[in-house]
Formats: sequence, structure tokens, C-alpha cells
Amino acid sequence: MSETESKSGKRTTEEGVLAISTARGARGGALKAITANRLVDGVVVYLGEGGGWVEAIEAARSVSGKDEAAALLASVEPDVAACRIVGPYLIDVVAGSDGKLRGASERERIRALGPTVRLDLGKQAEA
Amino acid sequence: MYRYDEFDHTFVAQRVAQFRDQVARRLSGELTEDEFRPLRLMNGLYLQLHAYMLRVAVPYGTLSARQMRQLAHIARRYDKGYGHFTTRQNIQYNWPALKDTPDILMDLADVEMHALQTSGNCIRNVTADQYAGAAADEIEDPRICAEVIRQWSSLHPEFSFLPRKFKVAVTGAPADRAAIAVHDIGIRVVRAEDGAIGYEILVGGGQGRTPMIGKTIRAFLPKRYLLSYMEAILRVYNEFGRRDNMFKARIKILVHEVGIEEFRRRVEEEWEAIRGTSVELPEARCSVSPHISRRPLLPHCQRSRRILSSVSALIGRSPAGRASISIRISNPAMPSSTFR
Repeated sequence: MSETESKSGKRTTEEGVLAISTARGARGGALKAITANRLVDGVVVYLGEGGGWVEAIEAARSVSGKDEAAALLASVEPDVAACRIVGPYLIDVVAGSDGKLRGASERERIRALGPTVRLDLGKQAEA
Repeated sequence: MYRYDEFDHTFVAQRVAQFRDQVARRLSGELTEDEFRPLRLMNGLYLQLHAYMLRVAVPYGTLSARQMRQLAHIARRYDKGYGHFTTRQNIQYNWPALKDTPDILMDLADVEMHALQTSGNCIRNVTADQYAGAAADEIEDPRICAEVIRQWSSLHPEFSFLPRKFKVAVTGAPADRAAIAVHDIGIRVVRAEDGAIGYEILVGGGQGRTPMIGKTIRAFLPKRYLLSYMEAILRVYNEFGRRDNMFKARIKILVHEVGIEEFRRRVEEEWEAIRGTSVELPEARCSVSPHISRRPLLPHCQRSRRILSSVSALIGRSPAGRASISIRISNPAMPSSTFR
């Protein structure tokens, strides 16, 4: 669990919609995905389509509906117990014009890419 | 520079071994994240936005060449080839793997460094003027005072669970290069009219979401009372600081809410009660170390000082809108030069 997570608050999405930060429970109707940090090295990961953990948000599994999201979150508890991941939570995701998923909040977009002050580091550098 | 004695080496090595065992237990699932989190934070290891982050203390910003090389070695071997030196004289590694952190701590211990008290609600790394020992306006080297506080505050049982983190900075000069005015306790070395050297103590400064300038709680504190007076301040803070709201838990909020007069009254009352039983610093131990600050002024040093004393710097904005720094060196023996 990140020490900075508690600082997350309201964010403005690219679509101009004021969204509640997704760090702890997102809006009911939005598209949702699950993110966490890998325990062994802290890398940001997402629950993938096949049930495994992937590093690219584009490969994340997404669901809509509050109940589906809650069920998806509950389904990763065994991975927490097995020490594969730490601190899983739901995030809002949106599909871009290219059809690829990305985080709805600025925080999650930064988290998915890497530091904004060092573009040569993080996943953005590997793309 | 402070050198570890046998006790220090043994203690730090034991802490590394302890943490190695804790990491192994976490990775095996014996410890949950809730159980492990306070343990890793006590060793300076955070889990942040992109990865783990390890914060290593550089006491009062002083590093030997051997330590600097080891920091670089750690960056190359365990991280992405760099570290981030912070404004509070720590270095942060932004991409270490959890499994590697015990080895990193062992490498740090090999050069008498550690990451203890770089997180948590305790007294953090003591910082000092970056020009300590070399500044022309210095009354006394602030690192002596900083080292005394470092030793006193390391693993202090009474002040390991304060309402919130606690930061101390020391400057030996009138110019506040150590930013003491924005620390929980700021200490400035001052000279009284009779020539005696002591400390001006500021309290309740800070930055963050509620920036405040520290207030002088004592204009002149004789050196020997440094620790007992700090103890009195921390005791008052420990008792009256808020623990119900982390955003109002820093000492600056307490000082602001009760007022500096009332805060001073409480501290002085506490100080009177403990002064007789607290540690008093022997004058010889809290004075300038001869081999640090009383070096003979060699001819080339005298020349350098003359040059340095006539260096002026201007920070401004160029016509293109970019920030610029102009440095002008004037020395009677040489033509004036300006560097941009």
C-alpha cells in the first residue's frame, strides 16, 4: 500500500468529467480494472484477461457494474494471500480512440507510464 | 566525521540481519502486509507510486569518498543507476526490489550508513548548512551540534512514537542556509555579547500543506543544556501534540494553536523539572572539533578565502525568459571575471 495513496482526491478526467479518485472504490457505472503492486519488486501490475498479472494497463481485464467490480476484486484475494501482489484496488479505466485501455485519473495514468520528470524511466521508456 | 565504534557496527549489522529475516518472512507469507508495513518503514523502505523507495540518511549531509562510491555502487547494482539526493540531505533509491533491500542495507552498513529513522513518527535525519566547515560567516561548525543530536536521538525510546515526524536542522552561521526556520526545531549557533557561544532555538516551523515560519523559543541557550532543552520541547509536544488528525499533528500546529508564549511556558516548566537529571554536555565535547574547523590557514587557503569573499552571485532572468545565474569574481590581483 503506497504511503501516497491517501493523498488522492478529486481528479478531472480528460473528458472534463469530475471523477472521484479511484484509489478506494470508484463510480458505479464506469469501466473498472484492478491494479496492485507486485510484492517482490513493487512494480505496478494489473489483473489481466487470463487471470494472471500483467504490467501493461492495455492488457488489463475490465468490467462494468458495481457487483461485477466487487466480485473481480474479491477474486484476487488468493493472490494477496499467496504473496504475489500487495494492495489491490479498483480503478476507473477508459478506452481511448485507439480502443486501448488507460487510467481515467491522472494519477493512474502516471502510475501506468512512469515518472513525469524522468521520461526515460518506467514503462513509458520500455514502449 | 563520526566513525562507528564496535557497538555501532554490531548494532547496525544486527538490524540488517533482523530485517533480512523479516523480508524472508514477508515473501514466504508468514507476515501479512499489515504486519510487515511498520517493519519496512522502520528501515526506511516505502512502497510508492511506481515501486519501492529506500531512503538512506546522510547525517548532516556529510559523506566520505568511500561512502559516496558505495552509494553509486548500490545505484548501479540494485537500482537504475541513479539516486536522488533530497533537500533534507538523504538519498532516495526509487526502484529497489524488496528482495534486494537486505543486501543494500548490508552494503550501507559496510560504510557506516543506514536507513533507520528515515521514516515514521520519530526524530529524522539531522540536517545542517551544506557549507558547514567552509563558510566564511560561520561562528562555529554546526556538525558538532548535529552529531550530538544524532547520537542522542538515534533509537531514543521516549521519542520513537511521536504524534508525527520530527525534523531538526542546525546552522552555524547567521544566514539560514540550513532552512532552520522551516523545521520542527531549528538551531542557530550564536555568540552572546560577552563572547560566549550558544544556541538560538526556533520551534514550530514547517512546510507542506501548512507552511509556517518557526518562532524563537529561546534567544540564547548555553551549549551544555542543548539536550535537556530539546528533551523538554519534545516532551511537551509528545504530551500535547494531536494524534487524532495526521494533518494537524506536527508541532507547528501545536505552537500555532497555543501560541509561542504558552508553548514556551510549558517547555520552560518541563525543563526546570528535568534539567537537574538530564544529560549536560561537557563543554569540551560540544565545542568545535580541532581537526574539523581549526585547521591552519595555509597560504593557498588564505588566497582562496580572499577570492571567495569577493564573489557575488546574481540570480535573475535572461531576456529570453530563462533563469540565469551570474557569478562575478573580483580580486585585486586579477581582472574581474563574470561567469554565466
